[in-house]
Amino acid sequence: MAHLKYEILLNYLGDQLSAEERGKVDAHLAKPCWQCGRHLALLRTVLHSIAEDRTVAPPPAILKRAVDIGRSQHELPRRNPWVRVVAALSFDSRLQLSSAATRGVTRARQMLFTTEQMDIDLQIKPGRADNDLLGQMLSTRPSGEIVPAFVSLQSSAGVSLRATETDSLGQFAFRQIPSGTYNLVFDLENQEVAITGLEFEND
Amino acid sequence: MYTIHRMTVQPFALLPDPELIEVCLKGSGQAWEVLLVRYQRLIYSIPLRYGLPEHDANDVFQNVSLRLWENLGGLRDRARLGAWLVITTRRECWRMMRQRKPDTTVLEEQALEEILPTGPRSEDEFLILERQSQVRAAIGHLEAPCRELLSLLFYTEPRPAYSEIARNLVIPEGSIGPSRSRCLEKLMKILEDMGFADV
Repeated sequence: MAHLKYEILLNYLGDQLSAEERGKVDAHLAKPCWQCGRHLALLRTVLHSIAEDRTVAPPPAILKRAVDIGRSQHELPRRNPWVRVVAALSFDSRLQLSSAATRGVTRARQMLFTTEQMDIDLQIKPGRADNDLLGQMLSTRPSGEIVPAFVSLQSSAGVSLRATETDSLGQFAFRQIPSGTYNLVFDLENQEVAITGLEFEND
Repeated sequence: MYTIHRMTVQPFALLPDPELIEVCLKGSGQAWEVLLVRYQRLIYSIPLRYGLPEHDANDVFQNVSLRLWENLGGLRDRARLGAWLVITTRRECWRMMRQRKPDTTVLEEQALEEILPTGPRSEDEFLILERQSQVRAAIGHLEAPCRELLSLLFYTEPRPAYSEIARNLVIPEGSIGPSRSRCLEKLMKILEDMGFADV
């Protein structure tokens, strides 16, 4: 059987086929036919995007002003290497205390990560079914200047799951995080600081 | 209406982001224009979703465009430009809010979303915005008959009747269905060339 035409796929998604025609399409897809399956998935995504589209284009003059950036800048964008710094763990309360010592005390886990420019203080508070993560970025510069950061909680595969921003004291929080292993990434504009393999556990 | 210079930008219009960025880095103003047009709706819609007024959204758009230009050469993953733009635009919105409320101290997850309750609630919503922006850009690269047909069919509110579309485009009403399929097929091809992901 030849591949399914877009018109058929459109009618399939729009529930416009007879039971017999629909059965033929299902049978073709179940062969499996990867190409038609991919076309169907793409078509479904595009139609869904179109149906829900409430995006707004900038006014023409605003877009033109931005387009002109590429014409008015005398220098081409520099090919700066992207810098990613992995913060090193320098303190972990779970490693410091014996199991006897932890008996009866708070179960919150305290950690400190360091880079050349900052320390990152983390506290994980386990709940019954999930965890809260509280943190603070502390500058190690003599000026003590706190650079605002965009913080994202990512899956171990690097997919952004949640995001927040540090406040004026460098603090941030993520709440109700399910058990699992995550990366915490701080976007500081000119570099990215990552804490990888952060484990959240619940009893 | 802003008119993209169809004849001059066409060679770059269908390039996936990584290749398009590479052409930008060689100094092509046209490639830069294509890149901005591709993501204009994504960048501009985010401040509006957060409830920022239009003049702030204009400033956010300009600032993000400038930051994109400055960082083109250093993007860590050119295939994930949309995600980079979402983060950068959200940060610009956040800055804008800080300027409006300098005393604001926030220590809550999704801080910006809580300050601005109309904002998107999940990362998925930003991904949808990214796709919508790309699809709109791809429709802009279709030839006029298809571009006009799909715009009338999908983006005009209230949705016009087939008879009205046929009258507007001077085509038989019975040809709208088959034409819609052909035009969507062309759209899919453009999106595939652009590296549009359906997952």
